[in-house]
Amino acid sequence: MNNIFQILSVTKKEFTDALRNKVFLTFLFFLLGLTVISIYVGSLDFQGKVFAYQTAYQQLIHQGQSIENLVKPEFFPLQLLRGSIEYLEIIGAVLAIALGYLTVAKEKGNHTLQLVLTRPIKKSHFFLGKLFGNALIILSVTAAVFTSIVIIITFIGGVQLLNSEIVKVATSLIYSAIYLYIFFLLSTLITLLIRSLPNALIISFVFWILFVLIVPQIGDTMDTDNQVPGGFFNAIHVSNTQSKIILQQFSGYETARNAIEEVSITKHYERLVFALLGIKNSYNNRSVSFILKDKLIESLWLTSSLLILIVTTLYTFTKKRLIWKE
Amino acid sequence: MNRDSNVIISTHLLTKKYKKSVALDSLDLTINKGEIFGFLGHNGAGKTTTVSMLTTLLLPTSGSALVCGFDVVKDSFEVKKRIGYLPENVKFYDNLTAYENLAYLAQLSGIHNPKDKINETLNFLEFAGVENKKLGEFSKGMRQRIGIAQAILHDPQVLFLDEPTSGLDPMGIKKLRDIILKLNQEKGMTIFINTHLLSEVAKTCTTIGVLNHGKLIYKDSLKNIIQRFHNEDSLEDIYFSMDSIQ
Amino acid sequence: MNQIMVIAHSEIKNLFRERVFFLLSTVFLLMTIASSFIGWTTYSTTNAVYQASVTYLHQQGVFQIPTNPVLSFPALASFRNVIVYIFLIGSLMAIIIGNRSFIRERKSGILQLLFTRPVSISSIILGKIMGISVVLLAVISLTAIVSIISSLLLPLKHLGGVDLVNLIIFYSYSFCYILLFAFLGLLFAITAKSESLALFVPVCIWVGVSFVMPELVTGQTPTALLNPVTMDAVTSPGNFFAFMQSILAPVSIGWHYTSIGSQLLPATIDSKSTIDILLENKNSLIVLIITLVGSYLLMLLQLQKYDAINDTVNE
Repeated sequence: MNNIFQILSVTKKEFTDALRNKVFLTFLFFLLGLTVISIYVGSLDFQGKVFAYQTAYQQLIHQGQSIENLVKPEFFPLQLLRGSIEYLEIIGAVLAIALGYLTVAKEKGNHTLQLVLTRPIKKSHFFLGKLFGNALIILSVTAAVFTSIVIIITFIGGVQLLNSEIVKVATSLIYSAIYLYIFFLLSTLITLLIRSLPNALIISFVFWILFVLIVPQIGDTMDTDNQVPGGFFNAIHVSNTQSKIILQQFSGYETARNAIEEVSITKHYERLVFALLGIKNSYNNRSVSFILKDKLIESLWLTSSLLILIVTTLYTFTKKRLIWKE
Repeated sequence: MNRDSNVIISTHLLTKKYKKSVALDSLDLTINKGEIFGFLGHNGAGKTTTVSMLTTLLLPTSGSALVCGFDVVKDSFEVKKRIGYLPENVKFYDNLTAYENLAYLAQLSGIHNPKDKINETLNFLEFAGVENKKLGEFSKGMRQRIGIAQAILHDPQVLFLDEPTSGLDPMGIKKLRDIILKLNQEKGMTIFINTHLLSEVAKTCTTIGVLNHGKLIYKDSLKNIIQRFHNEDSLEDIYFSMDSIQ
Repeated sequence: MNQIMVIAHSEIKNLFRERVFFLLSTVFLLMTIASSFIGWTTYSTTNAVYQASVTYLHQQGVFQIPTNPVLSFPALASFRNVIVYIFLIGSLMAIIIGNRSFIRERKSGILQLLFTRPVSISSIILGKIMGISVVLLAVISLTAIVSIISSLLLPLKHLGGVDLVNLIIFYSYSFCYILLFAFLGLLFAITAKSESLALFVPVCIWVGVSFVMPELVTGQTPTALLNPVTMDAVTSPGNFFAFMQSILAPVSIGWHYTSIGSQLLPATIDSKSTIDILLENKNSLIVLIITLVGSYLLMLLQLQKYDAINDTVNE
């Protein structure tokens, strides 16, 4: 009983501390602002496409030509989330890194760890309290982001989301929180392992830029179809189904490309959430359970990385000598 | 090892070695209940290392130490329940208020309803009224007093103070001295002070130990020391003459 | 002048003794090498895919097949990945170098000592800038040499004389671009109250410059512009983007970088001449220079206000 009480008081302290932390608040408002902007930009982009379609339609009708080849833009409100999800991937991860860094750095740098470790609380309980506190913070951040998205779409955009769409948003929220928590744990672990605090932060940034931006970008540039603007296969008049047959001969290359993408946790998160939100067109109008079943591998990647990191950080914290004598 | 009921801290051949140096070499030390023990030494003599081991923050390389009858390695949890510690240049969570910082640390010490205890402690330290200020706005002296508050909140039997006067002005030093004496007299707390300031030791301590390059070179009651060296004017002289008797 | 050199010299020495600096430049260099290799593999695979497609289409009875679009790529197209790496890693590295440079002085208290010596504030800053410039120039030149050598080892196409001119202009422009981020790192290392804030605020600005402004100007999603092939992508239609372009386009330094970079390292043969590119983008280049000078002046102003006595850098 006393243990739970101690863990909860650490949890509460982490939460209060974050709410008063300038770095954290700056990032939170930045992230919320970006969410709003990108929803707005997404909707304007769509309006522009509709306008372009209408103009082309009028022109073709006017000239008496066939409108067969004209593709009508279809509106799926959840597709507007694409930009917001990308910002969660990038900025959200920085925010999580900040939380992970601060949760260790504050104790180490201010020597408050000495005040805590001379008290009768087990190291593991102390750390569990921190993990809970930060899980709560990250869950609140993602909840804030997704709630503002839903509010904007419903009240400003005037689009009533279907129940099934709300479920998809809620599921994406959970996976976003898991994704961010992975980065929180990663930077916590790095800050625990590396003695110099500024170096720890910088190394966390290096991991961030590699996982979040570089590796997915490499996977993208290695895509043969991406070599020509408008698509390589399109340029040589090869259809989608035909291209799949041709690419079967290059399975080695495709496997290598896929393996590179697999390294990045961001890519797993993106595949899963883009499917859930129907940003990847083939998953539009599919049920949540179908998508989750189809993308089971991605959620396994996310949850197993989460579990491995929790165990490793907990182990590192309890086993590692944290107080250094100069 | 001495398990005399009057003994509150005892160490036996306590040693801490680092890769290149010996920070503390075979320390044998006994401190009785109710003493104010002044641990003297130059910077880097090994005082903080000793306190870190007695407060369970560092593991000894060899030897053993008992605090309140418990081994600092095997029963570190029991030791933690009975000690209070003020590190040198104590810092807190700057974004939290004094009350929030103290409540947090009190809860970790197992005090479920910290409010009364915090009020009582701040009153005892004559420092009531600052509860709702953020620690980031505190001066060095104020922070030091919150530091003492966190160390005595849970009524420890032994209080460890590491260079408590460093960075304080004369007024702050005077206040701190009064608090130490009050804690010792009214609460019967045993107090272990690390310091390199001789004048402080002379004014507050009942017993003195001198540490030089990781070795305890002298320990006695203040009264005896002054008798032995016949030079009650200047503790400084004693300090330097002790350095030379090695 | 002499004092500036002394400060610059100490800055260079300090940087070369920091492990993090080596880590960052190694990551940067390795990515450059990797990008040449990736470019080469992708290029050869795409050619093979073309051959396979031709065989397949012949079997299907189709004989009118367009020529291989990849073959018409100019030699410089293989360098386009470098734009992305300088845009991402180079600028982040510069922020960190600028940040370390001043945080180090503040934490160690050396800044306080400098202030008690007959050194002017502008000399301190100029010295720092000079040291950082030398180091960044060294790193950029090294990546340039590495990419040119690897393009010779894995020959896709032969580099011509004009190509070399374009490359030199591109790398010089890249140097100025990342220098701006070093300035940003320096500026916040002077002003920020805590060490982490000093690093996080410029990173926020970096995200703004690299992703947010380009998104507002083009309507493309944040990471769409990181693909070297679609880099010179079209802007979304609509009044909003036209409006945003009129306000933000002149100051979107990050967007200028990818856009000028992709013009200097073109993907098609019918590209403009180097002089035309520079003339067309002269406003963007002037904006970059103005921003550099502006942040230098801001640094001067902030360092003048700097309170050496009460400075405590927290975590």
